[in-house]
Amino acid sequence: MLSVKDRFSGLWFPKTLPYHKSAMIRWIISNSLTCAVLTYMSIRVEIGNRISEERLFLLSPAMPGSHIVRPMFVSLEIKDLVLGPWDDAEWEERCGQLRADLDRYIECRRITVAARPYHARTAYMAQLDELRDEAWEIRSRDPEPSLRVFGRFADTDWFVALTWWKRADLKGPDSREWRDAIEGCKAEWRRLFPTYPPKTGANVNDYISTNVFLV
Amino acid sequence: MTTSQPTSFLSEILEGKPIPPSKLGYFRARLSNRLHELVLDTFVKREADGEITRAELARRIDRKPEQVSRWLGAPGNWTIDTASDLMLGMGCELGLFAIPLGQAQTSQAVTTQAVTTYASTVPLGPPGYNANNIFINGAQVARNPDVIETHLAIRNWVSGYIGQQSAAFTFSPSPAGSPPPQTHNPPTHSGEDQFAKNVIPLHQSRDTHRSAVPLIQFEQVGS
Repeated sequence: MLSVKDRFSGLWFPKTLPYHKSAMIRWIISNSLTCAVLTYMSIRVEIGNRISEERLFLLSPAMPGSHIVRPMFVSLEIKDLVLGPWDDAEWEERCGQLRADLDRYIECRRITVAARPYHARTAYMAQLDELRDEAWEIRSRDPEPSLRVFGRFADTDWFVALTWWKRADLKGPDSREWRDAIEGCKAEWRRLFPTYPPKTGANVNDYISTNVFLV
Repeated sequence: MTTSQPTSFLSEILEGKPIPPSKLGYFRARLSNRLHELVLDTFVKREADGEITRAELARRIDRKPEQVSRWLGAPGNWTIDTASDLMLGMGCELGLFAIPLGQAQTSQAVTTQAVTTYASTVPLGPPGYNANNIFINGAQVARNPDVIETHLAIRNWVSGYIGQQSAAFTFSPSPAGSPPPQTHNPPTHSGEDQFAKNVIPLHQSRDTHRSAVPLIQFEQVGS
């Protein structure tokens, strides 16, 4: 049987790793090794592969001393949105605020979740209609422009943020723009994980294990 | 690949340089989120204890229940007055303190600083545990010659503050009449961790309890 080191260096990642990838591996070892080893080719392993390919990125809290409790993996477009560079100071400030909102999830601070689609428009997070799409949004509502980060859960607490939109561009809840945004999120997922469906669940704690307040 | 630059995020702030807009925005939203989280945690705790409902909270501060629900949903259009009203409706007020960011980069420093600030701000009681020493991650960081009742609150608060789930606390026994020593396993980062870190129940306020309940007094080791 392969040792842990062999598994990570030989199968999932290139043998010679730059430092930032080593850090990612250490994070996975410390947080999900048991699960990953038991479920040999789980979606967690696939996430590791996408990270080694630099198609996904593990978003860490900005503040020194903060730790990842609920991991969030972001696409390149969201990474660029959050980390810049930005075109102007106003947009840079807005994206800094978005990052603080995303850190709230990552640091496992209490978040509000809409009990159902089209409900609780102020909630931090909501599952989008239709439920079978398994598409979620994180709402960064203030200040204007209000932003939406679309994604899906790979596993409980493991959120993959795939696309983002300005809320105003999505128009009304039944608009074609909304539908296209959800389809775009699903398509991006399929590009990253062609053989893996997103996490499904019967209640909110199937997706987010703790520190959730339904509104 | 991880996306953090933990050592550089505070660089401009600590070095006295102009602070870029992204970081101004980050800390604005962070404060707003933490304030919302604190109010929400307080509500969740008090609702779980059967002390308040949304409808009752709305009635007490003369707002519609749907308005209170919106406020609990997100901090979007909050003002300081909103937070004050909501906390007051739950019988609490906010405790505030300043954390120098330069010290936030070392857990030990921030723990000592934070606990000291906390101790000087929040009265606790009534007495339950006598704790002579506090250990964090095995290191003695503070000495408490007085009485701690809400050791759980302190443990959770420090754990949440320094962002370490692994923070373990040992409360040593004081002499007679005290409970046996207790070592607390690290908490997960749950809502309980956040509760009580800045919440001062008004019925335990300094004005009413100063004479009856000792403040926690921490001394830095070596001081």
